[in-house]
Amino acid sequence: MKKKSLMIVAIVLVLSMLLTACGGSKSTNVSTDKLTVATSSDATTLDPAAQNDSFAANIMAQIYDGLVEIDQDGNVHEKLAESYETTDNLTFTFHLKKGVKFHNGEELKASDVKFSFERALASPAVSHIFADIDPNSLETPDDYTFKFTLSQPYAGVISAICHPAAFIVSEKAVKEAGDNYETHPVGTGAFKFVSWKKAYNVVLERFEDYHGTLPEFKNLEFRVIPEGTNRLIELETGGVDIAMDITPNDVKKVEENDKLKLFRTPDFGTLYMGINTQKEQFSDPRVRQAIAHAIDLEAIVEAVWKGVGNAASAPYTSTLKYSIAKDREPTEVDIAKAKQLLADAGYPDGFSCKITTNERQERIDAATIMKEDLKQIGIDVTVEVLEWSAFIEKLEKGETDLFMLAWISDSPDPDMVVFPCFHSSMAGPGGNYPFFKDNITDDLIIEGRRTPDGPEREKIYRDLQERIMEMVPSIFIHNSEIIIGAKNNIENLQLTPFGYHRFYPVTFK
Amino acid sequence: MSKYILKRILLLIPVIIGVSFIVFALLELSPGDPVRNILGTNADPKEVEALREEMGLNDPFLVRYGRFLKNMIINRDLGDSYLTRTPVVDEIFMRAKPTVILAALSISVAIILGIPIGIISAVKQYSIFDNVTMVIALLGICMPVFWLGLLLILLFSVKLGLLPSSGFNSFSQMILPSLALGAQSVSVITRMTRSSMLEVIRSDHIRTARAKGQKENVVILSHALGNALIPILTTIGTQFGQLLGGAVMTEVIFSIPGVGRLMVDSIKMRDVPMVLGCILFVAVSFAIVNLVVDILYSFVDPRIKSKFS
Repeated sequence: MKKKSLMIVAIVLVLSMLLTACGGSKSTNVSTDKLTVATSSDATTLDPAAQNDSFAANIMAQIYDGLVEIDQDGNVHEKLAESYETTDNLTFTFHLKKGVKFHNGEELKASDVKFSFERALASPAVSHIFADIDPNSLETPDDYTFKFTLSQPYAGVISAICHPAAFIVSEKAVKEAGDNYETHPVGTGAFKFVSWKKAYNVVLERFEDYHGTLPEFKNLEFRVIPEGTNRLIELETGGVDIAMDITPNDVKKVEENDKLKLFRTPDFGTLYMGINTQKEQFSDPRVRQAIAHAIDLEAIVEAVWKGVGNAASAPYTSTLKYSIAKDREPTEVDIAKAKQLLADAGYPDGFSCKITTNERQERIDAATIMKEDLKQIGIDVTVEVLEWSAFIEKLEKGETDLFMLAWISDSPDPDMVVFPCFHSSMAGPGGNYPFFKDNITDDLIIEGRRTPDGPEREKIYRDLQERIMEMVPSIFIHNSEIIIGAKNNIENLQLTPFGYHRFYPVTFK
Repeated sequence: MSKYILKRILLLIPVIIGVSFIVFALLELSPGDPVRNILGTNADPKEVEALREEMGLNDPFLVRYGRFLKNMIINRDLGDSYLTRTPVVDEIFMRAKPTVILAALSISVAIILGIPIGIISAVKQYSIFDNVTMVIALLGICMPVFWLGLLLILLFSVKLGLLPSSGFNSFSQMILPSLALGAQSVSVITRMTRSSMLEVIRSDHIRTARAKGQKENVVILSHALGNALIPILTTIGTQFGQLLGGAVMTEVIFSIPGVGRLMVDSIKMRDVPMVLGCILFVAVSFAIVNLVVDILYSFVDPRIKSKFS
């Protein structure tokens, strides 16, 4: 018996020693030589022209630079360009910084810029972002000057070229790598590429010849941790320094942990409930207005997003130019008015319809609450949840009644939202899934595109937003927010509303 | 023997063709457009149409399937992923390593724990040990892996700080996923060992062995276990096959870049070549595991050897 007990004690001891030994390999110490960032998804490519992918953009923003860049407040600054100018709002000339080196040792020349733009304009995944730049107009008068011309005036072009798709690549590196360029990126950024283990991590190393301020740390690793809970646990236990996409449920946990802190910034996205205006019952704007007055947006946002982001009060969020979001309150809840509007439109007893959404939990939750709100005015709603691909197919064919969707702008210019979402020419697959057709809206959108930035353009967009709010092609629900958790000693992380962030200026306290 | 193995390998060809046809047809029938998923909702519809044409997605179903088969059989190429544009075979080889390691570790945990516990339970039938382990085994079978995985993370990573909660690079990172994934197999193997042993223990040759004065250890481990091993081996084979293809939840929870995660992500994106690649990987691995189990039968039971000749 004694022998047996001794044996058990020995086994337990050996096991616990083994476990402790294994645990020892994990670093919990603060290391200022390396920054580890947990992301929720892997990049699809590291070639800026190949894909419009925000997870890839997060990594590419450390490897590449653009001619210009955007800061957290939406202001544009020169980056690889020393200056730029336009005389007629059609032709834009960029003067490049001299002595900027690519990671392969080559110097940045205007020919690289031209080459990068040619690739972006020819890429089906990103060309829509720069749609009005004439691909035949790209010119390099000398090694440090680059010019392009627009096919028609487009005031949002400088904002558009802040997009990661316009990052500058090395012509020589792209040609040498051929089909393998996606996994052998060469830019002028603060970090150069080392390795990429698909679905696991991307490792970068400081570029010692960087043209800006050298980062404080030598190695940067992006680790893919798809589960939100796991990202937080890794942050709490010291496995990573920064965790992206903290879920609304976990925000409080980070706030209450004195070893962690939150970085947050509003992004370019708005979640909305689209209304299929082609369907008979929704063709009358009064029905759509009635729906808007029945839904308590503030309550939905509080219940579903728990204080992350805010209830929408305009067609697009306040991070985009000329937004009226800050000057308005979300549509007032007024059940009596809603019932009256429905009765005036010929539906005194309401009707039945469906809200279709994809599988994202917060959209299902919001739809479920709206179902209860709409019951009060006699609209009987069923919530239909579809897998993403099936959902998009139904949207494009106009087979939905009401649907939940978010639109995330590719640049701070409002045209990136209003043209695809509300112009009649984009009805269906173009992005105008409510199939909204209104001449006044169409005219204002085109006028806004063609008018240079200034008070006149501002007025056009303000009028346009008021018109959209009045015609209610969609109920704008929630303006999203980017939430990043970090260790307390992390400082100077520069977030952008684009959804990609600059990690290279990070310093450790 | 080699003739038998060759026959089994040749039988894989119709299996591969059948499986690929079913998967191809299912993906065809399910709604969704891979080009839309690749280019995103913001892309220009004209560009979407152009890329669809370029990728040959406007061709009829049979033409596309025929092209896939031709590529697979003649060029031994499964094509490129729609999404990443990299060769499917390369990607699957890269992602197969963690999946195979995870499955091997899990099945090892299951064998090391399952067989001894099953034997003791059978020998001491209806004892406290037997009752307790059978209840635990039942719980193990019912317990979803994502729940067990999270509990293990909470205990070993958060509370005790002993083991990392994600990744798959070092041995310490492999312990928790192997335990979580192996738990169900431990239970299945334990129960199978117990019932198989119980059947054998009551047979005449065991009584004879005991009657001739053989030591109890030898009776159980050699005479009884040897005869009880065939169904246990079959169970281990099936379990291992399932672990190779069904570790999706474990791979997601512990952030392991394996084939399971690749398959689910590819299905979501309608990345047909990648889905086909993953399914073929699972089907072929399952077939190989079955073949190995069949061969092992002949070592366990010499009578079976005759069927190979």
